[in-house]
Amino acid sequence: MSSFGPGAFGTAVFGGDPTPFLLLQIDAEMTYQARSLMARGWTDGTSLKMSQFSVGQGGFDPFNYKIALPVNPDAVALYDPIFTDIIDYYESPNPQNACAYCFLDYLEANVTLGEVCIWSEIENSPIPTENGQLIVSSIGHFPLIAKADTIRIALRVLSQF
Amino acid sequence: MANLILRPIDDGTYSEWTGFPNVSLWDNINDVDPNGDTSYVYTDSESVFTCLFSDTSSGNFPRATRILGITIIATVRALAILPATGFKFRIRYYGVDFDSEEFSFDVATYKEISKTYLTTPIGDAFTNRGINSMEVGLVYIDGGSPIRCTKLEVHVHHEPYPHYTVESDGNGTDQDWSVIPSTAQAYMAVSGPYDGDLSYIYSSVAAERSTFSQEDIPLIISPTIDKVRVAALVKSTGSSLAEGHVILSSGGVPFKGATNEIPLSVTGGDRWDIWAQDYLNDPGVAWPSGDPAATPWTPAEVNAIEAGLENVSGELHCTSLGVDVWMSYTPITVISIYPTSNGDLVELLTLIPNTGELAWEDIDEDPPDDATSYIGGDADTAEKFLWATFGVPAAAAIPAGERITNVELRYRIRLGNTTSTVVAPLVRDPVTLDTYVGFPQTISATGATWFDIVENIHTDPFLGLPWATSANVTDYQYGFVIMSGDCFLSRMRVQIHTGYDVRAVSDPVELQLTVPAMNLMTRSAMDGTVYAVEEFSVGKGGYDPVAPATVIAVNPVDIVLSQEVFRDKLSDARFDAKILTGSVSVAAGGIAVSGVGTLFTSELALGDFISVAGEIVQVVATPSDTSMTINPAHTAGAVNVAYRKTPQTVDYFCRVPRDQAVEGLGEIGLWAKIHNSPFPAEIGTFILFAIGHTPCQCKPELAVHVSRVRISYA
Repeated sequence: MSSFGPGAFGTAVFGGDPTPFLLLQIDAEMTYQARSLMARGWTDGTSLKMSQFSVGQGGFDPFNYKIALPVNPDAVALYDPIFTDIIDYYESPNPQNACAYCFLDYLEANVTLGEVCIWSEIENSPIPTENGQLIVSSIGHFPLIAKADTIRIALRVLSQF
Repeated sequence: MANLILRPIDDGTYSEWTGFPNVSLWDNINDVDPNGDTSYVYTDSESVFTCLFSDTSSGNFPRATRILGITIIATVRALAILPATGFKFRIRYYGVDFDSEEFSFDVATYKEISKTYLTTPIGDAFTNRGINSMEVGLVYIDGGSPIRCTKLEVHVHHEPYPHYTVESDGNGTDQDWSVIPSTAQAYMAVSGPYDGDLSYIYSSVAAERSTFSQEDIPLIISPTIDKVRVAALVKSTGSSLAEGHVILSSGGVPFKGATNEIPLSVTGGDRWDIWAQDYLNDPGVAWPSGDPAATPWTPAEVNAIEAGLENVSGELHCTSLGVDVWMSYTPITVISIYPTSNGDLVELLTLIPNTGELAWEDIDEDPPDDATSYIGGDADTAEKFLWATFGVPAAAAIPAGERITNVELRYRIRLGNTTSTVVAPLVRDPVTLDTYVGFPQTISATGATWFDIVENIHTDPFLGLPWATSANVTDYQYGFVIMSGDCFLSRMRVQIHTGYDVRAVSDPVELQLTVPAMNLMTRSAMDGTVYAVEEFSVGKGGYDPVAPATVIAVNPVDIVLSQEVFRDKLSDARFDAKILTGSVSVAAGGIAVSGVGTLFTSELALGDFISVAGEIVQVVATPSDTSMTINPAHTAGAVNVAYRKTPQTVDYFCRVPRDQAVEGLGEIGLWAKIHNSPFPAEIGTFILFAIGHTPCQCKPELAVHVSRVRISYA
């Protein structure tokens, strides 16, 4: 389930339509792949480190732009990814939450957007070949945002544990 | 008009006084710190002078704040104290002269004399455009002694527009005043659009009172109310002065003011004027109602009041009566600051305990200790204004992502040994020695009660721009001036309030002015129409529904959005005057600009557009900080004038709450309300002022969307 957050004016969340620089909060859902690796890490020390994000053109209902489709936690990639970049900075709003800020500048991802994912790097795995691999650790869907080259977007992607 | 302090910039229509040492008058009296007999203007025969106070080329913004009033302060002296010698203030507003009542001299040394106007002398609200062309000066009344003026300045007081204005909806407890037309209900005569002499109430008998119940304010969630104002449009018939009270009746008790019971007056001449009284809390709960934090208004209390008028003397007419309500903005971060040193001005005495302590040590307590330690003074005995400013310590930095929305100045005061006093807050820049005088507040009938008075300063008073950092606030000194009477000050607090810095993460949508807006702006320069951008709306149009990233061109003749879904008041507005450092000169027909104190190389880039004396030119070369080449040539030429970048901009913040406008949005519009117009039917109506289109942005029900939109003015 994704949304633009609980959003009250004065809670650091500004959904921004139709402001060109939109600060959008998205509650992302952890993938099963990430959950299993985290569970495994309790016993073998494997850990995940959020590092990149992707945005894509899926995620919203093509027949009703206002509807965000449910996230499939089995997914290992976005439905239609079109842009990937490193995460710009991190925040930890509470002990059960990791938050990534992902900026889309004027010339980036200028299509209709509805999905975002966070890529995490596997670290400290006892299986040496796993270390450094990137997996999709969380995915968020949101109603259509039409990105144009007059707009910059800051996605605040929350992953709740 | 960018800042809140205006000083003479040129001689006006009248220049019958003599300047010393300069021949022109204005540059003898534009001192930041008055220099006494070093430079002044003088006269010893019946004569007038006026000066212009604002650069007309500095623009005219339709801001989301309005001008509460202006205070004119003259530093003057008579060479001998002769009873018949005096002066009047003259305001020349839109080419018409208005003279104040007469002021006389009781000392032969320089002293400040001030007059505050809530409205223009014809009863309209002040506008930026009006002030930009306003002239202010002195009219000498020949009583035998020459008089000198060494400093003249105008302080402009801003306030936000009220969130709600409610009108009378029924006759109240007292109904002594007569009604025109006689068959009408009295409350109908004072409600509805302005209709002047067509319907009004009137009284010529002292103590006659009429009060009216008011419409309920709209239902609101988690309401906190900052302030309630009772305002009435009144006039005195004939040529005589009339006096009366604006009444707020709470719990059946009529109150004549929030902190005073001094009658308001209106001069004769058949001109409508505004009377107003502000109440920071329900006076029926606590009077003086000067402390919004102690017992804030509740909606039920506001809905229960009656508003009205009471005659004191003369024949009074009232054609409109209303109640303005301001809601509170709850700050995110609050930083309280207390004085830690005496400032430049130290004219208030350490009254209690007076054991050798410095003045600041008596007013730095939290919470205030009232009678245990305080300072004060009697301006009547001193025969001058009593000034005091205090240094404040550096404060914590503003948290990332927040910005300063307000600096609240709060003073714990009580009347001293006089029956009334007039006091005002001060802000002083210790570097430039510039001192901003806040809105003067009249106190009477409050006896020995300690209470708070508050002034909110939303922008840097010296720059007119948003407060930048906490250091921007604490680099200044804060203080208090007693303008008349005796007053005690027990505690002074400076408090920084912040909100989220939407600007930090949002570039604005450029809106296009509509044709009706441009017509309105042009017309307002000629017929005095007053308007303000107050509301916004969003709609489902503006983009191609088949290709939601494709924007449809704006049609500037539109008078509504194509598919409006939500409309509300604006949350905030920020303007950028783009004033540049120093002053410039250019010959008529010249392309070479020379500067004094300018920073051409750092403040300007090649290709920038600048406005010099009303002409817009482009920067071609900046070989040094004081020389520049422009294109095209300057037509009229200018000598030593202020200049600025162009365009100037105003950014508006439009907040769409949760559960509202749950749609694919692509259009946004700003609406201007017409406040004064020669066509009464227009007053109170809105026009679509500017429109912008964007690609489709779907808004889910849980999101709060704040859009930042911009209008640029050349």
